[in-house]
Amino acid sequence: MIPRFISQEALKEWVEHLITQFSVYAPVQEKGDYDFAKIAHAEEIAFDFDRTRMSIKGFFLKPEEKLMSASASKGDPVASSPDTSKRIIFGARPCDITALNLTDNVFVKDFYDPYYMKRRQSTIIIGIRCTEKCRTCFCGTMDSNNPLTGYDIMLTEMDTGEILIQAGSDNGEKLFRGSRHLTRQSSEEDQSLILKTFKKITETFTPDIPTTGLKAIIDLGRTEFLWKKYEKICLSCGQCVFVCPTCWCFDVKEIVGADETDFGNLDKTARIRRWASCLYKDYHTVSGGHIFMPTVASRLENYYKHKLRGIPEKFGVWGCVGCGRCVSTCPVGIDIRESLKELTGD
Amino acid sequence: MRKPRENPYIPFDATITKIVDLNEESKSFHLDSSELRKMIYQPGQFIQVTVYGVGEVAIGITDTIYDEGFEVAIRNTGGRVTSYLHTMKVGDIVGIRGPLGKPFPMDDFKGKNLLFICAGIGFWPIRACIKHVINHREDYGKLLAIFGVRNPSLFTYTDEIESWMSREDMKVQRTVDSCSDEDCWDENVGLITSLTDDFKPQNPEDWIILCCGPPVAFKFIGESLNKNGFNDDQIWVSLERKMKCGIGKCNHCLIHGTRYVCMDGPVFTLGEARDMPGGLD
Amino acid sequence: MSEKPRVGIFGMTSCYGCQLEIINLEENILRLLDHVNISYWRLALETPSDPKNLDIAIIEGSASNQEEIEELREIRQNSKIVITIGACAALGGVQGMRNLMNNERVMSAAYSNLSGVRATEVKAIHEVIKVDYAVRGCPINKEEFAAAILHLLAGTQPPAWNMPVCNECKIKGNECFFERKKPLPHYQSRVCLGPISEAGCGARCPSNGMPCDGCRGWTEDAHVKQWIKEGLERNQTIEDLAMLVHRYSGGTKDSEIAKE
Ligand code: SF4
Ligand code: SF4
Ligand code: SF4
Ligand code: SF4
Ligand code: FES
Repeated sequence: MIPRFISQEALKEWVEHLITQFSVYAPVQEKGDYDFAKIAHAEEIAFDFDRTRMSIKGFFLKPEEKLMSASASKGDPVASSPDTSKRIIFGARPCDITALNLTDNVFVKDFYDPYYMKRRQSTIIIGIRCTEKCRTCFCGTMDSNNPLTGYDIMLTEMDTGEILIQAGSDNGEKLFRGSRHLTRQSSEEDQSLILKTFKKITETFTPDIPTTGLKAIIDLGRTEFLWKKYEKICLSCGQCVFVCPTCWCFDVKEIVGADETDFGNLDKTARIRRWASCLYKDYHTVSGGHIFMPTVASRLENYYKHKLRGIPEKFGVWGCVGCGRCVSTCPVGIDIRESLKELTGD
Repeated sequence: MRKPRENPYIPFDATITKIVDLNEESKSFHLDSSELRKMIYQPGQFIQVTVYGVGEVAIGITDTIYDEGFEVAIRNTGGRVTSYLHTMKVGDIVGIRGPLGKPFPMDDFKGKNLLFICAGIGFWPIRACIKHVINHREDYGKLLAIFGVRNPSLFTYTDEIESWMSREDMKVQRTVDSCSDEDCWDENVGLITSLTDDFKPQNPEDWIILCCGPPVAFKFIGESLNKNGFNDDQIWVSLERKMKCGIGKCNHCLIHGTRYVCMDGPVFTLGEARDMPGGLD
Repeated sequence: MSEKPRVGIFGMTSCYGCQLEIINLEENILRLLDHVNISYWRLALETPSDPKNLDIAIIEGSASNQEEIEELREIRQNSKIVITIGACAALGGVQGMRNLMNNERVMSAAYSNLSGVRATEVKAIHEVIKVDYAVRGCPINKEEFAAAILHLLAGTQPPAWNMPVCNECKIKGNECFFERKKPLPHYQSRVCLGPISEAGCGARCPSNGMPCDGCRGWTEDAHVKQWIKEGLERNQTIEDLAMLVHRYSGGTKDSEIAKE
């Protein structure tokens, strides 16, 4: 699709139209921060949002979900089927979309995770490009402010206030087809405007922390000092993991008798998965009491190395998209931007 | 074989057909079901055993496809799942996911001499290798198996070990860490390294060593073998971690951010394991 | 199961709030009752009847005097499984703070005449008798209680996620009370105990606009000292912080940290 323009008013009209066909989730202002919520009207959208408190990963990797149910005595496991009604996430930020591209890879690679993937396939992503840096952002450094795929439509606000619409997939194009009358074609004169806006965006998001030497530094083991320093303050609360769009740790348990429709039936058992954190000691404790990563330092090392060394090696992208959510949420002020600077000796 | 879009979190059922006491803390469970009969697995891989309503536990495969039926050996660690398993009876149903993980590359070892080092219940996964090698005896050179446990009562599959001892084409050595006066024996007493220290073949480069046991043992066994001219890339170990998904998703088994024991392992060369900080913890 | 397991429910020093939570299970309590035979429950049965030969004894409250200690020993002898419910039973409860304070002062503040007072040092149940399982919280989370009973009936250990309250709090996507750069809300000057408190309540308090009060006790891996340090940096006094971390647990945990 050749990019088209839409005015801010027409955009709202378009969203209203989408709401009639899909469940639409968009950032709203709530409890002093922004969060994705299901909206009934375009007015509810907080268009001035920078980034939301939680990332969009929870739409796909549910915070808590039932994987299957079975009979305790006879087995016969039955997989639960995720809700696959069509929905739209409106206003996903580029960093969240970059993270989504990573987790998409994680959940199809080698073994296909139907729970994540079915939800993912039934969701249309409409992204809104950032034109300014947000509170804690360093996405330029982590190369995540310009995802090349992972969205169906990307909206970019021009200097003039008009919005450029780019389709990222066939689904995105289809979505727009019926609403072309709300948009206008881009003309030749627009090209300089488009170039100017994108140039400005590129300049805004130039990397500010050097990362080229990170792999060597980590492999040389020049990192111990940092984990030792953080070990003295980290509470192992796991918040940084839960807010992080690229963290996907989970735990799995079997629960007896908690069936919604058949509570108390001791023969019914459910397999539940739930967000967990590799920073918890229990995450590495096996029966008999052995702990594979007994110290906070060893767990922090695992956490950082996964993001900065393991994920790049396996998936070809950074395991951090620089959204800075962990920076805001950490109760003791551990700041991954500072960590990067300390690691690279900047 | 697993179909590409099959749900990897859902086990298939198997019935317990026989339970054998291996020693005071371990039992072996013979399992059967039509899916299980179709399962193709190799030495070194593992499965996830579900006790419905209780949980799941990762168990190294101790068997080869050449056998009748399928058995898993399970030590009661006091955890939810293994302790419950030890109360189960013939006829009860369990769930199985697998086979999971990478096997020992037995084909790459063809033409080599093999040393098996089995520390404690580390014997069980190695048992699959030994049985495989005996089934393909002509593909491999000399065989030596070393078994070590804390005290004589902890040996498992003793009949089998003794049948190997009586073979012409295989050597077996056994040791116990210590034994009290009443139940002592006339074979070796001392740590497993007391046997590996003396293992000084003419051409160490012709040997491959397969080693299973607690990770701390790997360090000492590795040192002992290094002294006798074996390098870390000839020594294969099987690592253990807390596991939940077994399919590289949950990050429980991730070692220092880079390697998944459930996908990249559980078998690694000692060299690889040493390269991962904390790999041998 | 030929005969239904016999269950007794007992109250020691407590507010009976946890027992009320059991009743609050409403419809689901009937499903639970399908599986068991309640043979002793002073709060809910007209004739509490028979506290002997129990399969499961459920105990609420802390041991705060000699009679209770003796009753507990008797319950243990008469029961196969003992589970405790609530913060008082697991940790000593709010009354446990008495142990940390000057006992005489507490006594004279509470009673005008001390001659008839029988109170001893407050003890959590597991300090008196062996406890097989504790459902934590003030009050308990009734769903968690039901799950614990169902698992015991099914013959397995009740499931525990072993995570701090932050896990459940973030699962709910709550606003955090403990963000560093954020000024504390005007209506309260506290800090959140979520990072060091055991989850299972569904982050009840933060989800309802209050920081966690730590009623479920510390996690196994609680970094209490680091937490106190953080609190101090938020202009809290060491006395207030010590009071917070011990509000429910005075009955068990040593008060070393409070002194430091
Ligand atoms: S590590 Fe922090 S900055 Fe990076 S993606 Fe996760 S939450 Fe965002
Ligand atoms: S949010 Fe901060 S204190 Fe909590 S686990 Fe992460 S780094 Fe540690
Ligand atoms: S429990 Fe408290 S510290 Fe933890 S996330 Fe919730 S509000 Fe923040
Ligand atoms: S949030 Fe904290 S104080 Fe509130 S119920 Fe849960 S553990 Fe108790
Ligand atoms: S066990 Fe889940 S990633 Fe290996």
